[in-house]
Amino acid sequence: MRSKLRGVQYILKQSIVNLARNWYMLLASVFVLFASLFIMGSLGLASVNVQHILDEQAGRPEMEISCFTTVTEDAADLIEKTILEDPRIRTCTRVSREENLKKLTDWLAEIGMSEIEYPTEDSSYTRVSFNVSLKDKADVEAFEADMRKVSGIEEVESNQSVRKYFTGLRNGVRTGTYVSLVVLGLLSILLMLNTIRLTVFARKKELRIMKYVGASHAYMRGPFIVEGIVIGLLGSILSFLAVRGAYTYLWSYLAHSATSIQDVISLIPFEDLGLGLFGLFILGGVVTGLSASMLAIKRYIKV
Amino acid sequence: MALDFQKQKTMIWFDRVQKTYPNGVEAIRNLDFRIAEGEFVFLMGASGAGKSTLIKLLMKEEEPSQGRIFVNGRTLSKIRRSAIQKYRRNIGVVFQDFRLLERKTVFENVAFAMEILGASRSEIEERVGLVLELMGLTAKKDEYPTHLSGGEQQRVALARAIINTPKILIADEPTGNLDPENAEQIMQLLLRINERGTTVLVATHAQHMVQELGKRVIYLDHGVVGQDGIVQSEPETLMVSEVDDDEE
Repeated sequence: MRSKLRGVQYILKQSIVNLARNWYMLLASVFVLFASLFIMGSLGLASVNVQHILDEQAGRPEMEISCFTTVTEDAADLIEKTILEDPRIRTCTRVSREENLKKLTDWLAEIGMSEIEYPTEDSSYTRVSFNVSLKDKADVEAFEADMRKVSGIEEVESNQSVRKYFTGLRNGVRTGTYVSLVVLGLLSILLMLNTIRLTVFARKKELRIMKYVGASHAYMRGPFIVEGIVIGLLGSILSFLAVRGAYTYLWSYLAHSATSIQDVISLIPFEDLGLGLFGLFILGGVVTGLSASMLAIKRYIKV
Repeated sequence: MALDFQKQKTMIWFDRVQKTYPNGVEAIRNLDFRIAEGEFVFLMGASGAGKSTLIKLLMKEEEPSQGRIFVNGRTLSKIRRSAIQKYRRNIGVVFQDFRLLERKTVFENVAFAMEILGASRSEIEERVGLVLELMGLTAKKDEYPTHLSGGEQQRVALARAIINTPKILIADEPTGNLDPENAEQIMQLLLRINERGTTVLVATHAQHMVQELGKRVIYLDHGVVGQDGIVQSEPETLMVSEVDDDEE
């Protein structure tokens, strides 16, 4: 047991010595892994968020028809009747002023802006709206145009074009993520392989002596495996911190941007992704580091 | 001086061994000899005669193309890859170019061979101290190899080779880089190590030294045993008396 503990101590000590001796290559490897994971992580996050936007859009009505705030309840009844009489309609749900006011205040609370003084008691500030879905999606554009002509209707919003745009974006981002995973992953492994190769050559004499003296495989290979793991951990932790910083900045920027943008682009709060994302970064870094170590051992250390 | 293999345990046995490298070079052809436990044997032969290949085969760095090699009762071809390092712990090796670590002191160079086998600090202190004393290096224990003479460096290498008390010591041209005085010292140390029971195999070109010591010589000639016995006369012509090798 003590002998094993001494073995672990030896391996750790040698790993630190190796890394310190080739610190410039260590920095280069960590930087490349950092950059690769940052790009992959950003693309991954973008992909998750675009999917989130699509999911949100799917949960929303196909079309939202909003009346002017000045439209009275009786006038709103007439507008509702006009909509319901249209044969292209599948469903139509009326949203009252009170309900729209509640939605607004809930949303303000969600983005941390509940301190803004809104006349929350006064529902006349908001408007009546209708959530509409059509029997045939091909009718969206024509129906939208017809509704704009109805007196009292201020805005008609269809999410079809938004969905189409984000679906394309999601597919593009996903492809980018997969390609970067392969290309940047291989690039990181190659550079790390080179770093470890240098330390193998620096310790060639030592390794030869170890071989002749009969040092166990763990003693000979251990330091290089630890080296790969350390590079992997450093690269992944740094890139995780950078991604978190960039994402939090973007999230807060969007939260303070115009309501129309927020209505379409809503990012998942980082806290909801953080732990899983951290795990993925660490896993990615360690797997890349270990792969490079194992390759270097297989290619350059002959027992 | 003849050896009786029926009475003494065989430590090394090359049983009709052949080694042909992938490029077609036939380094060893039908090599057949035995070395008894505790024996001191010189391995001689011109460059390219197969001495280095023989050492590589013994260290299990290379596999024979044909034949079998037995070391201390074990068939080398049956040693699994994962057990090669454990097998090598039975063998100490010294080389012509010493192969010391320049960044380590004399003490650290010798201790290194124990450290990597997981020995404790107290064991290392005790055994390294004893071996350095045996090699006459106690006063130099804190020096770095670059500050030592060739003879002293080779003694450090010898100390490292025997620190884990191997059963066999292989010396590959141990005096090749040394002046006659230092070469003589190294040979005397090898004899002392042999007197303590270690089987010693010395590959050398130093014929005069071989004659002086009167030990068994295996002379390799183009990959086969040219002559095998005790040197008895002129250095130019290696006259040997055959060893008694009756055991099957």
